[in-house]
Amino acid sequence: MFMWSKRVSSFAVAAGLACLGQDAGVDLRGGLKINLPKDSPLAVASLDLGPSKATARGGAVMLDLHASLRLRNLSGKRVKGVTLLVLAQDVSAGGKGSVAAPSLDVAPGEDFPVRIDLRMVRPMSNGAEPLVQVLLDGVLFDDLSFFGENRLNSRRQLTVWELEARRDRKHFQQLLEARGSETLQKEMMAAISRQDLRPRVDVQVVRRGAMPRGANAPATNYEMDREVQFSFLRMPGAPVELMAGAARISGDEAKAPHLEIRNKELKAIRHLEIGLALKDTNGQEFFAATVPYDELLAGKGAAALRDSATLRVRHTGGSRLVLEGMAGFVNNVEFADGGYWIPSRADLADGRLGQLVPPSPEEQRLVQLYRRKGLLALVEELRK
Amino acid sequence: MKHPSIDKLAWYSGGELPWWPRWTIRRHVAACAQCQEEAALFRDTAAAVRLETGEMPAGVQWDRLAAEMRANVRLGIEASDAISAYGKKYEIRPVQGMSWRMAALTTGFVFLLSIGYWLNAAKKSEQIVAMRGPDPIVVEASERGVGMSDGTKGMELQGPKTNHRAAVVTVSTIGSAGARYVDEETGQVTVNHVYVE
Repeated sequence: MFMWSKRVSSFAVAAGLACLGQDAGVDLRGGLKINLPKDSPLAVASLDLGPSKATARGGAVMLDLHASLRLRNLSGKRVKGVTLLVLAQDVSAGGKGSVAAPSLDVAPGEDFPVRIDLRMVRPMSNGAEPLVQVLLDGVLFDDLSFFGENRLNSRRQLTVWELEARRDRKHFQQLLEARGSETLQKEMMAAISRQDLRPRVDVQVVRRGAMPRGANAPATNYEMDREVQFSFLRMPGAPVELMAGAARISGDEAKAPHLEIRNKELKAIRHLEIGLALKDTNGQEFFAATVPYDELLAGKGAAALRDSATLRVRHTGGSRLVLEGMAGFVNNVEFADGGYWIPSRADLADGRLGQLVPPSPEEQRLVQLYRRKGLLALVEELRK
Repeated sequence: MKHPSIDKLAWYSGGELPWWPRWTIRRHVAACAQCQEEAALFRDTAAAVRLETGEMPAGVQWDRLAAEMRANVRLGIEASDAISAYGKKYEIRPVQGMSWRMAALTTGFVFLLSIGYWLNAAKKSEQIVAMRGPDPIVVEASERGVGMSDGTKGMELQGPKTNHRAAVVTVSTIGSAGARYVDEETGQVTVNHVYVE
């Protein structure tokens, strides 16, 4: 366990990983490097590498990193969310990952934990480059101000999560105030039921080109591509209208979705995200992917969104499913003036949307609090 | 003059006969007006069928389909032979001798053929490797984590030890995958993502 001050914002965990590396015969000098900028509002308070290990496999090294990091809020504001950028050199396509902690409420001077559990296979390094670098991509504060390089568009994602958190806290607080703890308990039970009933699926995506043949694909059955039109789940308050859309479906794959969208508002849109739900031949419908639109969409303007990606979905555990249909809905919108739109609780009260749209991180946190500590703890949390 | 059978004429017209029978039938057809007419009729019919089926429906990978159909047909024939041969006694034929000249000639011929085939196969496999592009990078979100791989290298961000099962998984068509975990002890939410550049 180590302690660092704000000034020591960059360090390499050379010794720890070098020792681990010696056991496996791998030289891991400078294996993990945590780089925080000099003016960072966060500092590393401690780092525990736990059961991390590195193993040599031929000309490659397999790193199993389990880092438990504690970060300290050095700013004068409450921290609401953090995104760390995890860079692994020499891994496919740059090997970029991130670990984000949304729905936080960290007071100035307080610590909070962030876990990084990374498994990586890469060619043996000459030791000049660290295996893994961790950088601060962004911090969101309670006044929605932001600090960070924002290489992963963390500002947008952390802001959307925070707005969802405020919406859901307000919803549960209003329920508690207006109808009492019994109604809150019923709402919690309904939220638990929604979360537990969500179909469990694994999703793969390839941006361009053909998806490699799946391990459980049938040997001789060829399913031909067919064009399937989207059905749209409309939210009355959404600033964007989905006009038309389709994708090619073949077995467990959905390919090249294209959509026509229209801005209903007068103000321009900088970014929007369409949620994509897929339906299998058993009638089960599940949220699978998001399709972003990152070009400026003028007020009252329309645009076509074309994507070359291929998605493949299968049941968790590996059993194959066959896709039949698709539905789209507006997930979130960022306006050019810096404002945001997210679905309201009233929009999500619609049965089908309520089942499809994933719960916010804050709802998940509150449900876990209720599950673990009971109604009284939840009421206390909501009255903070 | 003995005419070739109608089957053999059809195979000859389609260019599907081995070298020796093809050569003998070609000699016959060149001298026989009746067989010339038959062969021309077969060729016209084949051309018409080819024209009709020239366009395959979108999405059908004909080469793979054809290879699998051929494999299945061979398998079926072999299975059928095996079933019909079940219980029959093997016929033992006397071994016919071969002169040493014929043996030496055959060995040399087979050797030359093997060298030619080997050289050609090596060249073809190099061409196939050169033509094949790099494997696509697959990005995946599953309950156990998010990861990306190009078949040889890869990275995976896993869930915390306290809760391996992601509560929400999703991918984005820009080439990213995300998994959301809730720590069972603290309730803290962690969201892992991987991105393809």
